[in-house]
Amino acid sequence: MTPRFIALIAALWAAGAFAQSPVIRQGEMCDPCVPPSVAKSMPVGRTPTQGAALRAEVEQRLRAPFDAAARDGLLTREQALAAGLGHIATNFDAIDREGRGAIRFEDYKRFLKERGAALD
Amino acid sequence: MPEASFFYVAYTLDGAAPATRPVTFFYNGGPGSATVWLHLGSFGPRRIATGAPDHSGPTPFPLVDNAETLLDVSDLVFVDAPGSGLSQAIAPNTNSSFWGVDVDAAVFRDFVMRYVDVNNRGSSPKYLYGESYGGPRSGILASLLESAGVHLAGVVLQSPAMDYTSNCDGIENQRSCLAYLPSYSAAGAWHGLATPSPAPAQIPDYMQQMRAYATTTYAPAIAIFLTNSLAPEALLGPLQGYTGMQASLWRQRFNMGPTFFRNNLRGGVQYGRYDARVTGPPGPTGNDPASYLISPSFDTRIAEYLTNELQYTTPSSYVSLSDAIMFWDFRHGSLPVPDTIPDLGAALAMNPRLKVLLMSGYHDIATPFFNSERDVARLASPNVTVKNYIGGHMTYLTDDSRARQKADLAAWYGSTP
Repeated sequence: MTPRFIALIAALWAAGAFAQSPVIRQGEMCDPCVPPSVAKSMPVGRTPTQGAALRAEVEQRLRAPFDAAARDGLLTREQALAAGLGHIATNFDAIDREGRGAIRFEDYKRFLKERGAALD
Repeated sequence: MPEASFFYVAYTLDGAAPATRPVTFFYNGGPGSATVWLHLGSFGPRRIATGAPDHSGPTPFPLVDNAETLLDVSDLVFVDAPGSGLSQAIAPNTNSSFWGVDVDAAVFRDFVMRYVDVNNRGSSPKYLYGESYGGPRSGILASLLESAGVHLAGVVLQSPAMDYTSNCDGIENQRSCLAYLPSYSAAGAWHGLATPSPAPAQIPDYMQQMRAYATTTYAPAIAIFLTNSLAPEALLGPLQGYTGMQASLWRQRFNMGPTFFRNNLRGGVQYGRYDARVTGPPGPTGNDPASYLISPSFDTRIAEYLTNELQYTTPSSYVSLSDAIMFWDFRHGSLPVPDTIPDLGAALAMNPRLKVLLMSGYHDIATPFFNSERDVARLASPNVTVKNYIGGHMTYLTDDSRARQKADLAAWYGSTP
């Protein structure tokens, strides 16, 4: 297959005009390095999590945006939408199994687990 | 409220049905790097022929048609982070407003959602392809997109630094370097310094042996060494054999980090960090021939390509590499540096059909393949596929590996977990 293509160059929200300019390269690439100030605070004694400890961290990643958008632990579809939590808003009726109009994190977690999420 | 002006180059197939035509977002890392490496080095329609790992041809290396472009499989969007390439913050933001682990991922989420919306790609299978720091960016970005209701089909992790707490570089006195050993062995074999020094075709099998040695013999010895600073004599001979590094130097640096390795494998030579097959004269510590031998060609060619081939001109300067890393807010979660395996786990929890493909180079001693394998193994997920290649951090610069990688990518895009 020889694909035909068009090259689109765009700057979203901005347009430019134009003459060639130099390329700037500040230093030498060092990825994944950190500056000395960060290196000093590296968590050297940490053992990377796995199993239940990792699943707890995964749950915390899911819980944080939920809690930030909820009031007293309860989240409505409108609150989910306003917070950009499209996954919850789209699936709200399936998560809100009892039709209360507001869900708790445990409702969302149960929904995810029923769909195959590796959570405890 | 506009946040930033994202610069990207998109290659899209005319007449394809958006519902079935994948679209892939590519970005390099740094942080602070433009996506010039992936754009002009990997699977775009044009590529810079660097001759890796030899790099001895006339420079700037030529820009040639890419027989291994991924455009037959997916539309390709190469996008630069704010403050790199031609991407810039919009006032009152400054570029540094987006120089942090979480704000960076969030603004990339906003870019992807905006691109999908403007280009009517809501129903297209969507993929992320991040390299190096682009790996941890992808872990968080995948979670943010899934949370926002934008389902991804897959995430490619090219030589990623998913967990900054698992790499020993720079803190060898406190953290085990066990996961570097197989890469040192591959490097020693490439240069004929190790015993044995298997040919490249035998490296995949040989690395299985080295993973086992690193895990069952070297790792427990390092754990003891970190408590008593005594290098076990019985292991120095085998380590010399496996790597080509003198036993006396293993005694000196038993928990050996990559900078020491590439400056001391042989006198009078400096081995590459991004690709230990590449050599140069001794220089200041940290000076990487696998980087400085190719960077000027990428800088020259991207400027020519944008201006002459794509007919895009601008008074702004193209920033191949900014100093963002010096100002970056590396904090994420409860840690001072990011561990993004939990974020990738969150993305998988929200989308159990999400595919993850880890691709690394055996000779990369910046993000060693075994370290990345151990990082993603924490997920214990059947959705994760691992592929390794002869070559460095940018596996795609090596012609034979680029062809293999393209074939593996094509098969993976067509697969379902």
